[in-house]
Amino acid sequence: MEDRDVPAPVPQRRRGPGRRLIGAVDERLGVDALRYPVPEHANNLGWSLGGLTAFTFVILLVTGVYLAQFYNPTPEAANQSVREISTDVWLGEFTRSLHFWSANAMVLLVILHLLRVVLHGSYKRPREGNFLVGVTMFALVIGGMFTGTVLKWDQEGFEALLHNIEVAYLLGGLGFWLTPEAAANLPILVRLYSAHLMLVPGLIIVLLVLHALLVKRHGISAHPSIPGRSRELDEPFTHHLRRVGAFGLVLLGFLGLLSVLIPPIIGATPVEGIEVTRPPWMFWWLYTLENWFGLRAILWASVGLGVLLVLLPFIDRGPEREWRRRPFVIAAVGLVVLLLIVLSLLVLVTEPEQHL
Amino acid sequence: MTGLLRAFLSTLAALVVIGLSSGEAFAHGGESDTPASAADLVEQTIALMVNTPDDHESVTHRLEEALEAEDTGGADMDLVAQAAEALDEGDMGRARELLEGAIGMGSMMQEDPSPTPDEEDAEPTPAPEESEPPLVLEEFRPSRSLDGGDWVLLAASAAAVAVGALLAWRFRPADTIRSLRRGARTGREE
Repeated sequence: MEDRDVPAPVPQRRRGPGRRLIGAVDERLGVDALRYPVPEHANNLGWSLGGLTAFTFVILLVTGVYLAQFYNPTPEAANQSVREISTDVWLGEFTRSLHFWSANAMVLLVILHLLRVVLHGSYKRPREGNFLVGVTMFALVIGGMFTGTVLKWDQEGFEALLHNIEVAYLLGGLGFWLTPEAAANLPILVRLYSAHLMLVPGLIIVLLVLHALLVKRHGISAHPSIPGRSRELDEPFTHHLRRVGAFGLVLLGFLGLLSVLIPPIIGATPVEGIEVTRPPWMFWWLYTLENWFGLRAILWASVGLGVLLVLLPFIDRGPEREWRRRPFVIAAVGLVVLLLIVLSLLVLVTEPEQHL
Repeated sequence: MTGLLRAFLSTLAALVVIGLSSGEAFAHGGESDTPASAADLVEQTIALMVNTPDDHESVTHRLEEALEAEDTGGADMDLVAQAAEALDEGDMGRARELLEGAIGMGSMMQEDPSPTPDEEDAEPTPAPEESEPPLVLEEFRPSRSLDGGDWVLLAASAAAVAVGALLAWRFRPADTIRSLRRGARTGREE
């Protein structure tokens, strides 16, 4: 009979419904592409800081969408609407608090991620371009923090805005968008609100996709102290995502605890002509410099730090990535970090001064 | 440095120079040599009372500037003078009320909402939407006392920390960096 010539069917293991669902989704969307190999060390906490930064960004998007339903960006009503979010909106105080603490966590994590990249020389060829993408995202995160500070429209936010406007004037044409004259018929608060909602997160998302694609293109950088001939295994990138998600859950819980126990205050409604507040901690170093050298110091110090970061991969071009074998670069970076920390701590013993 | 990078940096530098040099085109509208009016200085004094109530010197100094201002339009200077006397006597609350009255604002201090017997007999106060909006709202500190919802959020957050830590431990890499380093060293020696 012909049946004898037909090979017996190979017995297949029955897949569970979860696997079948993933298979169906993968067939249509190609999510299996995320299973590209990454070195095992990428699953350690230090190498997950970039992923955790992205995790806080997601928290900020979710909480931000909720807050945007109740926030009024006109100068007359902004401060009051933030108060009403805290008092009248269901879960409003917790959501605002979580937004606040997540923003602070994002800045801290992006700084730690940057330091990890510098310490391990992960910006070296061929990853210079991706490093610049990362530095741009760092600037955008700071921009998001700044605009968020202004939006609550209390004395602190108002003073931050006035400083920003003065620095924009110093920048001349380059700072035009940040001055009230750019759209005289619209309060600058409304424009900063649109930047906080669309421009900053939109650009971060675009650059985040590019950052992730370049990570895939170049691979996660090898650990400089683990030789290539070690028995280190490769793992799928999905395992990295899985561990980042676990760390992220810890972070979310921790931020939730902070949000309930230490909700952020909303300052008094703003009045022009006084300077009595200190900026958020990531701007403290600039605040000390402004006290010493005046308003221009904010501009030159920010530009200086930005230029140093951008030039770093083009200055430190040798093949060596182990930090002990790059003493000059690591010493220089260490000095800059130490300087920033000392300048920041000086704020604690400095009284606010009138500059504007 | 590649030629492309050099060209990019040159273009960027040129743009910065052009941008900075065009600063004159956007005349600075924020600064003004006009001395502040008494009304503005009174408003700033109130803001200082709200933001830095312990800095008596700054408050007094700003109030003195208000008293000496040439432009007294929009401010009842008699009330401002009375406020200065109240401040000298150490009664900042009274001084603030007088200053708010001096620029035509009602009292903006947070008062005890429960009426006194006299107030109960008096005419009803206007509804919030009818009353004048406050000039300087006090700092708002959310309550630190925990209600039932807060305890639920705390429990959920603590659970997230615990579950996340458990998952992070379960998904940990097979080898630590130290063991990989040690393994590589041992392999080299062999």
